[in-house]
Amino acid sequence: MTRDISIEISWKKYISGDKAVFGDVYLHYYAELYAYGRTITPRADWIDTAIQELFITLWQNPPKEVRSLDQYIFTSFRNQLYRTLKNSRKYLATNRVPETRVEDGWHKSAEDILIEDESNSEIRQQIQKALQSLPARRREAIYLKFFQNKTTAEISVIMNIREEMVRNYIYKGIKALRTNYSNQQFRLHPALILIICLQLSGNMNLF
Amino acid sequence: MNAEKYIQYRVEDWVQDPLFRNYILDKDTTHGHFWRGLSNESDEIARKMKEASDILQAMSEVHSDYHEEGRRKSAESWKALEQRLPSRKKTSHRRMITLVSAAASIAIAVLVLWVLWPSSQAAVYLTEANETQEVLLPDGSLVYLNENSSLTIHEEWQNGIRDVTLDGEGYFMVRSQADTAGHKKKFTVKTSGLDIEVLGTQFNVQSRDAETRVSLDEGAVKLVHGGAEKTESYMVPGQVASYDQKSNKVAIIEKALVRADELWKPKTIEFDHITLREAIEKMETVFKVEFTSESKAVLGLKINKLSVPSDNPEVFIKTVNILFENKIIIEMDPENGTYAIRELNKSMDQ
Repeated sequence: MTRDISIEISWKKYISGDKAVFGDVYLHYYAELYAYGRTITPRADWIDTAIQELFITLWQNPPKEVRSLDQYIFTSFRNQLYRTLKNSRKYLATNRVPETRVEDGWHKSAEDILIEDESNSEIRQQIQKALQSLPARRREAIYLKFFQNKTTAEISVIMNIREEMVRNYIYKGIKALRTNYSNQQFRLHPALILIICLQLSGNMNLF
Repeated sequence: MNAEKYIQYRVEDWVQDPLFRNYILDKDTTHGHFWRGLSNESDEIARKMKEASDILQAMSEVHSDYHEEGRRKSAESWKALEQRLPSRKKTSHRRMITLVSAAASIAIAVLVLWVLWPSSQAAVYLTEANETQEVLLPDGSLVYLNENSSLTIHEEWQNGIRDVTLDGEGYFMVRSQADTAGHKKKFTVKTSGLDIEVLGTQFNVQSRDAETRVSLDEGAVKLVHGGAEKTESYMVPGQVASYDQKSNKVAIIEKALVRADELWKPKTIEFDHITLREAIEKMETVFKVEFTSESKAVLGLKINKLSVPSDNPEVFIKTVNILFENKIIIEMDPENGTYAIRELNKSMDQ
């Protein structure tokens, strides 16, 4: 995903207090931050709250100087979202909200994929299930690396971990997707053997 | 490129390789030849590449769903946020204005709520200044909303009645649809005082305040206006109808007499993270062409991003042929004028 310079210029304008330009910046980042947030939590409402809170803070206290706008926004968003998550966990402890909602989010996306692609859906769904059961941090690192084209150094700043940890997360993340893949391939074999056996025994009865 | 390195690759390495990732996810075919050559080297390498490709595509599907979800929510979220943003420079005078405008916006919100309440099921699409939006209707018809416009899809859609309300400007590409008896179902665009009824055609509607303009590009259109006593007018392609609500009259003029920049039409058709099947449906709506395919599987191929001119279907065909170079080919059948999609021998998918 390439980011155009016009956003950097818009940013400077927004600092001067132009609401419409601020809106452009907001819309520009929303989908990407949202997708990033979804790798961390399926709760769309929390992600939306985090994005809004982040931009309110940015509006009220615009940073004087930002070396990389992208980096700044992703880092701040992540902090904000984890803060929201922490607060809601406290909230959840006292007011029990049924967990099903979280489940629903995952199931829905699996359903959408089914409609999209018939040829490869089974293998891909297995991978997607594995992806969803990964620890959030591994999913996060993979998303930033592959879908935001961030460097390991950049991810280490955003996630506030050492660079070797980033590499570790990504590597283990992919490996987990693989293990599942080969399991699935393997599971086919006993089924095939059973079918062959049945076929053979069927043939034998004929004689 | 160094083949040695790639022969040693494990699946994990393939997934992490930026060039291979571009090839799979962004359909960057710069090194397509090289990758295909490698996959022909041995079954072992082909299997690893296939596995890596599946992992990448599985992840990409999830993330493009998320991205799309975010894109759908963004405008509404901005509307909510805009209300909450305090004005930066706070003089007492400005604060007063803020208060008044806050009160006004609450009043407007209440009014809007009251007006919209009976049709709470209706879906509304809004565009702001310098913003256009493509709206895909449940029947596959497309509407391109120009700036500062709104399109309401009525609750009755669920009962098979194709009614929408337009305020502002929109370019309509209506798919013809038949009911169970085989009769063509009408599609109605309601504007203030004037209803535009069509069966399946392409036209532009501009409705601001008391004036509505309809410009017809193809097919036929029936205009219905008037209060208790309905008056009907018909249009043919190349004509522009102008309706004035005050006088309740329709005037029909030839398009050649209208300034070209007054008739708006989207210049490009965008494809964003959709399957070949969806892309083809869109092409059929926009260009009134027909596609046939022997294989269902190829319709699941993914298109990440594509933009083609709205006046020529050939560009789409050419681009897709390049995009899926070794997988499919689309050719025009000279006999009946339909486009046939043929599957080619698969080298990657063994």
